[in-house]
Amino acid sequence: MSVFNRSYREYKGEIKGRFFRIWSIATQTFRVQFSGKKIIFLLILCNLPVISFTLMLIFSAIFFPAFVREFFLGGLGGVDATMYTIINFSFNPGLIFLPIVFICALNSGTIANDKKNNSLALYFSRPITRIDYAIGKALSVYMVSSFVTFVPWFVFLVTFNLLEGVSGLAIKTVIMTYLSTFASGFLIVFFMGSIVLYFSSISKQSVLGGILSILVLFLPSLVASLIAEFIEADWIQYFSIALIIVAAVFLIFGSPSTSMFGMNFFESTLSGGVAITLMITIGIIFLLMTINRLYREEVS
Amino acid sequence: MKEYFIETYDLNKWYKEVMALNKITVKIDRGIVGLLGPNGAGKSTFLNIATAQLRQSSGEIYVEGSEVWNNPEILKRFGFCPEQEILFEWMTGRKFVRELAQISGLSREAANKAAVEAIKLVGLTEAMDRAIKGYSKGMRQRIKIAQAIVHDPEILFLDEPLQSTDPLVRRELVQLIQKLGRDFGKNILISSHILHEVERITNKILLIYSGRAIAQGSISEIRELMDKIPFTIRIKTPDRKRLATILLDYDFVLNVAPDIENFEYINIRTNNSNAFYKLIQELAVESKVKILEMATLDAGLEAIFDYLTKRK
Amino acid sequence: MDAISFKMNAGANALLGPNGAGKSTLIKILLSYLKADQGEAQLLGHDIFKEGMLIRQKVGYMPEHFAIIPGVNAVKQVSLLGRISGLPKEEAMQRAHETLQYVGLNEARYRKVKEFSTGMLQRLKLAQTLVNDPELIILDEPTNGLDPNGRIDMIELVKEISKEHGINLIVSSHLLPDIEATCEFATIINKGAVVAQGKISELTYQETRSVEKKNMKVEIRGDLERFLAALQTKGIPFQLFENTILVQYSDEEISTVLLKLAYENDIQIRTMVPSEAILEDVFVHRIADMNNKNGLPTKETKIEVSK
Repeated sequence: MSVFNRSYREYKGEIKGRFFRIWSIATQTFRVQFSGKKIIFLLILCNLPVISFTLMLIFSAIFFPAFVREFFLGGLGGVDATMYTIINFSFNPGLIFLPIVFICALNSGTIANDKKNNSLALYFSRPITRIDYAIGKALSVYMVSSFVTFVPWFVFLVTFNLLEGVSGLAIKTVIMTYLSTFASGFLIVFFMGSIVLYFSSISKQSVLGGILSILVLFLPSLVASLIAEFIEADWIQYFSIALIIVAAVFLIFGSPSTSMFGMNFFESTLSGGVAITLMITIGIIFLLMTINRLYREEVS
Repeated sequence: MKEYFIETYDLNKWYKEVMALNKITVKIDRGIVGLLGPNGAGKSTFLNIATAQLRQSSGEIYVEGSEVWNNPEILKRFGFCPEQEILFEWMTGRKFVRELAQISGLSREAANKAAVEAIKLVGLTEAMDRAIKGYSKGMRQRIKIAQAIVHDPEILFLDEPLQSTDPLVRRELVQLIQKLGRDFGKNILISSHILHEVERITNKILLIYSGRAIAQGSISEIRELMDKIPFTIRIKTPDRKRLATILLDYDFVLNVAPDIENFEYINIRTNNSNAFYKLIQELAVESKVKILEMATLDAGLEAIFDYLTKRK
Repeated sequence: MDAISFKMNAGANALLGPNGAGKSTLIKILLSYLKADQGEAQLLGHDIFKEGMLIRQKVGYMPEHFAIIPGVNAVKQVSLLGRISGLPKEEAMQRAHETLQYVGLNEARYRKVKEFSTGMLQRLKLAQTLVNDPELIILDEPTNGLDPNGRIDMIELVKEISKEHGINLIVSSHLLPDIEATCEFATIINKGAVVAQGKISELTYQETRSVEKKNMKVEIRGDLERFLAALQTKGIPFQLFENTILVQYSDEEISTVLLKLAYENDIQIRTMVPSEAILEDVFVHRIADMNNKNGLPTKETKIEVSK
């Protein structure tokens, strides 16, 4: 017979390492930022190009006779060209505002809300450094952002492969497509996410952070288009977010021929290398600025 | 008819379906009165109704015998010290008090003079020409009191004047409030949620709990009224055994126990404090039982509050 | 904050001082929120500048102001903070439930933290400090903003934590009665220097001794005027505060004299205790002394909290 003590219990067990802690912050923040009823609506809206392509594939597989389907899919090109086309559709200068608004709106509260609710005092009294905290938050931002980039793209790729089947020779192309899709998705996410993360850390107001990051992503394109009226030069195009993204993706996909029905729509004229370097550099700069900002933060 | 400081009859206040005050009927004597209760019990609502900043939903309230709503005559005699920390940050202390004195109807010169005097009374003369934004918490509280007393009101309402001040400042404020009440004969209503602070200033209280008045009067009288709850009395005596044996013979002594921590003391529980204290004095004088110290343990404000709120 | 050096004992410690004395700054330095300009400090035997992580592993901190993690319920918040302290996922969740039950938030565990009242938030903050089973908890104004019942509960909890579970405490508060109820030792700082330090009982004892005249606090029921007149005719010096009479005395016989006097005049003596100094007296006097003296501060920063 025993009487068990229900009150306070001591803990002598295992203490997990640094990555576990960072991952805890990341997943927790992701869950909070990525919740709510409007998310589904936003997700569908922002992924409209991918969704419609996927649905087209499925419907053509169900309803159309084989030769129509052959013609249709053949018109799109191979798996890599199709994927590239979809990315182009999602991130063309006319539609790019959708993913940008999605990423900025959903992530603008990542650090701002913590500042508003004084959570930093709770986090920083724990055994983590401020870099750990920043990385955790950054991971959360990247996870949220991936839902308008490579997550839906993978869904499309899987559907495509299931319906088309993969023949022995094409396996290399298929694997390369998956890798390229992930690489271009992550590049976009890292670039935009870092910017949003920084603006989220500058004030207590998540709305302010959101608006500022949207402005920063859009203003250069606007300025560029204004300048382009007067000066004609190729480098002006590097100011446009949409154009450098397309250039980077074009290089990552190994310059696929996207002659759809004989016409070449999506060939990028910009240097992909410059575009990729630009995006990575800006991403890293903003990430470092966030960390710097957090180190100067006074915790009350 | 005796004129009370504050009289209320069935005072109610509703904010839509939220009940802030519920049928408060009290008659409060003049002097310094503590308005006590937990956060959100309705203290601020009561103060705001008493100072005519809010109108009661129903019921009547009289301050010094006259209704307050729409009665500028009585409002002139009020001084109010709000809870908010936000003041006119850019003004100097003197200017702040002077402007408010002018709003109260004093002429410019009179206002200036009154402001300097009020500031002197609260002990801020040195700092009065500095901007308020450089003031510490204690100084802010004092400048707020200064603006409340600048037009020499007879009635003062202080909303949480001791909120988040350190012990040094608190002691000064307590002394200031006592001075205003005793030496200047003002009637003062102080709200607070920290009981022992108010216990030090005054023993007249009005206890509000979830919108209802649960006790009013002087602390010791309130405790007397609650005679169903036994008193615990702690006595220090060298004749412990003898006293205990004698006491156990009386039926109003419920329990006699040595103190756990200090064996020079015994704790006695009784349900009739009156008879008990009479008996103790008798024993001390007639039977020569030596009694060194004597104190009622659960007669304080906290004990009273505890009893009154737990039973409901 | 100026140079400061002191050592704190293991056990329940109070860190006291007027507003702006540097209490919060000191706590922030101990938790490495802030960097000290120079000097050295040890907490639980670890150097705070080199082993900050290790210290925060063993320390729980309850911040003074409103602090929550937005968008989650109480259990998730506490278990997240547990995981950040390195507890494995399941263990963190279990301990979150246990500590929330322990601080009395059993029913509110699954509610959003945003809806919590001040008292509940205070308990939640206490629960999150306990979740990683710390060796030391630092409580900043734990009873601030609580109503009377909440205050008593909080004091009981803090007492139990330090007494029964042997967790060291550093409490900073303006409500000195709460400190007297929870802590054994006190360190009073002012303007970045230690004003007084030691066992609270010893500090108050010294303070009582330092007052030359002994006073007996007497409260009576009955005709006050008559009792005072009787005192006067007996030639006993006294002062009157509100309803309390302070009677000066030199030997213990005074109690018999007073009782007899009351008995003869048909008055009841309700309270009769020698007036003793409380922590507040120590606090006020020591700081007033220091403000008058304005002594030179020492050169080096040395803070040590030994286990």
